[in-house]
Amino acid sequence: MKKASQEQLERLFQFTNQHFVDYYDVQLELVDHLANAIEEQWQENPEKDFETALQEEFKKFGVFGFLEVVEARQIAMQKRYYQLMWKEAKEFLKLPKVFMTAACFMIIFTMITTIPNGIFILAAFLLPLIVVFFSTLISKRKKEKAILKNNNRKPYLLESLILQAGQVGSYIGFPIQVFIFIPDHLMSNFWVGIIYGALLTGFGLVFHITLFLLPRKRDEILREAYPELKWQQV
Amino acid sequence: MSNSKLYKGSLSTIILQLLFKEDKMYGYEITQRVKELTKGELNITEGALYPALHKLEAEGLLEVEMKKVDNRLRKYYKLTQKGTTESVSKLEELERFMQTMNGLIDPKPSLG
Repeated sequence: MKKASQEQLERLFQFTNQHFVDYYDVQLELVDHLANAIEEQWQENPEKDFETALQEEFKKFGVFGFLEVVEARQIAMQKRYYQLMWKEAKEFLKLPKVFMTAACFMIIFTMITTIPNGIFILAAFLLPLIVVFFSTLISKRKKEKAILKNNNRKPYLLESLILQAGQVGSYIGFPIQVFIFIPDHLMSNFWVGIIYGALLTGFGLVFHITLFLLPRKRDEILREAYPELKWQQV
Repeated sequence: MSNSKLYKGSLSTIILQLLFKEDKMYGYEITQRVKELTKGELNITEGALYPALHKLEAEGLLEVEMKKVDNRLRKYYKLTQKGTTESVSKLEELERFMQTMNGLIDPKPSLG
């Protein structure tokens, strides 16, 4: 049976690239699928041109091309990413890390309820933290992009999520927004202290997990999600 | 997928059933096996199959195994423990549905 050559497989990778498949794991699956389908066509007509066969197979994906496949994969991997986040977060609700969580909550609560203008002092601390968050994110992405370029491949979807800190950056304005909506007379209220203390502690945890903990475990996470990595360099 | 919208809701059940019988399969193999089993009556499109496979994987019903075949990597899907249980209950659900439809379309004459 006639098989797709190495050059033809490379052409298939390039083809998926051209059709907006930006993740290596999705590319791998589609390349194998297209190659199988083309080889099947060759069984009936061994002389059939590779490009013609490829276009015929691509049409079978429908008007949206590979988009639906990519989207479904994104949803699946996002879910996996959130599961990983939750697994890490649970550690902060158990001994011994729960002491850190409780201390963080108590500091915020005390600042809001007992220190005059404590909420503004908190806000003043938050702003530089946000700047640190974005600058760390950007520098990490630059570094990783350079590595991918060296390896000559697209990122794995989960790898891309880890790089973008699970896109939590888009929610980063939320803690600041909350300040804006608290009426002045509630600024040092007990319940505001409780709710805001819990919210800010939660946000702190999310940023710590997405920005530091998960990237640190990147290799381990990727090897578990992508068994093929045993053949490749991460 | 398919020539008929009626099959759409059963795609997950079809995939789970095939994997229940075959142990592990890759995407293209699934499309071909369905075509073969239904003698071409049912044609699962690629645009429907992979999203369904990825969804089942995210739900923890399928796990993945990679193999190097003909110069390229092939992704095989297998049922997890949870997937095996789910495939049985999905089949029962489908059988009940078929019985109900049968009853609606072709009601047996009652003797009363």
